[in-house]
Amino acid sequence: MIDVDDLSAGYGGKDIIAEITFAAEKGEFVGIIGPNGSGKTTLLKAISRVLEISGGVVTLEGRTLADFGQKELAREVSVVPQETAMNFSYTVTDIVMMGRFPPHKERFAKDDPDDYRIVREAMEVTNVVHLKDRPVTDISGGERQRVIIARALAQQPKVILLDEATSHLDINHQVEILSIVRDLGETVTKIGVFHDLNLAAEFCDRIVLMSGGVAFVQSARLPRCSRWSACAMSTVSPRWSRPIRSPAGRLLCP
Amino acid sequence: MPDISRARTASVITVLIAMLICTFFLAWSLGPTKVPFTAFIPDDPSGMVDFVISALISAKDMSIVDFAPPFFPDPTAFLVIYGLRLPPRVIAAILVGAGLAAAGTAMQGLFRNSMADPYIIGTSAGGAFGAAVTIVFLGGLFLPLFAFFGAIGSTFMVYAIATRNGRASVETLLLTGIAISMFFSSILSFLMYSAGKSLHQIVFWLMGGFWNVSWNDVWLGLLIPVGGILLIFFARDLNILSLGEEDALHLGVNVEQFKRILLFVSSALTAVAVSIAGAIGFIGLITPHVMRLIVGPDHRILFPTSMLAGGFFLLLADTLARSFLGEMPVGVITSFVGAPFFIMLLRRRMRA
Repeated sequence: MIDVDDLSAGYGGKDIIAEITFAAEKGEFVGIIGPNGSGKTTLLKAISRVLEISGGVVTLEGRTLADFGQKELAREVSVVPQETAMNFSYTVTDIVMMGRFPPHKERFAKDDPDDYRIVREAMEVTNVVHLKDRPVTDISGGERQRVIIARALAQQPKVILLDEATSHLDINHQVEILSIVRDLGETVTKIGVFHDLNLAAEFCDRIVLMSGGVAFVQSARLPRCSRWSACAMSTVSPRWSRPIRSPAGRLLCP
Repeated sequence: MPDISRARTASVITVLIAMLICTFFLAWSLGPTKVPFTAFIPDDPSGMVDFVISALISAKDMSIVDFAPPFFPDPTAFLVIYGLRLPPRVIAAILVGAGLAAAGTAMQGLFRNSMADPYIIGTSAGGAFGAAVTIVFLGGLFLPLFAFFGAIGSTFMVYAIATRNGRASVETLLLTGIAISMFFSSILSFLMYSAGKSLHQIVFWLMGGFWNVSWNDVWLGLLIPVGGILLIFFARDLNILSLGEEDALHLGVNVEQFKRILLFVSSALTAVAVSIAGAIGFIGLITPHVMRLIVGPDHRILFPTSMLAGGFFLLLADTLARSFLGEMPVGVITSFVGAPFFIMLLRRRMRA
């Protein structure tokens, strides 16, 4: 589905992440964990093309991501950021509708019933229908994040990238939102950066550990106990001097 | 958009157009020369229509003077109403108000800040510099042209300085704008200091007003509706950009290209406005702000309503200045009314 191959990227000519290789299968939920400064967000930004990549390649269903047009990319990949600035009081429906206009519609096309249906469905999935006419400036942080996820769904993407999408919410909302994301089904591939190891272990199918700009990847969907142990290991030894990997690329559990 | 808000938008636009038309006629009928209302209406409308049609068919040049004696009751009053008072000044006030309001709306959306105005990236300082140069060195020759290129030039300068690797971040644009504004202001101060006799001319220009507006200014001003329509085309993209650049990128907006378009169109609008009437303050700041409170933040509606409201407000202010305050610079009035209003909005935000 989405293949990251030998990826390097960084800021101002200096690489933050180097030679990252992993793949996410269709419908999978991959969690990226690691200490601050390990390059988690940089990796996500390189995948979503906010950051210019300096080496390697990201492919989506065999096609290089760099070849996608901006609108085309928005039809395939949507991003849920940690926080979205809300300076103006758009209604919830306005915001979710933004998942339709640039990616799926021409400039002068009117919003048709299909768009309204898709927006409505996205809002149903994330449980924000009752807020549809409220200004986004007036709703709580958890509600706002669900609205942003609804917008991401309205883009009808194949891949959703979550950049610590729940980290400033309380635990109830974190669990609620991650459940929504996990239950999106097998059509959407989910890749999320996590700050909270417990949540990552609980919700993700697979874990990518980052440290000092390199990644250690679980090669297949593993049972929960193994995800937990991967997370546990990252707390025991937050900085590895070099990769602890078996020849198959399988993460060695302690 | 729900039906309720659509109906509301329609009624707001209707009210604005009605207000604009009323002010238009008010502005037209007021002035130092008292003119009876009967002087507005032609004696012989059908004869006039025939005359216009035959002139159009024979492609003959028509002048305003051809109309007065045969068709209107009072030739002198006719020339005052149709020749002197109405056309350039009233139309220019509407166009300039609309242009500043549109540019202000665009800047507030781009900078994600409702305190931004059209002059924020150095446009007015550049325009003032251009105007001062020609006033001091060329006796005010080609003043609108100098003001226009000063304003456009300073914006390009800001953009060029703020751009690195083809990207210009909004924060850098803002800071560069402030720096360039200060730089031009200092040159302006020097020019004023050494201006001697022409100092008052610079000062008057800076206050902003419509004393010397001619038909040529109105023709230039017709660029304003064109720019306004262009901005309306991009209103949806601006909605998305106002949530932040990364969000816009993820939603498929070509952010850097769009920012260039937005900066170019709104600085051109501002430059045209400034070259016609000088640096009139507060219209571009307050009009979008007020309209956002009334119609909401959707730029598809905000652009047209702000332009109508800006045209209305500036025409009203100019009519006041012209009729009751002895040709006071209109910029004095807009700022005098605008500043307290701004403080009121600020207080309201602090409470919220």
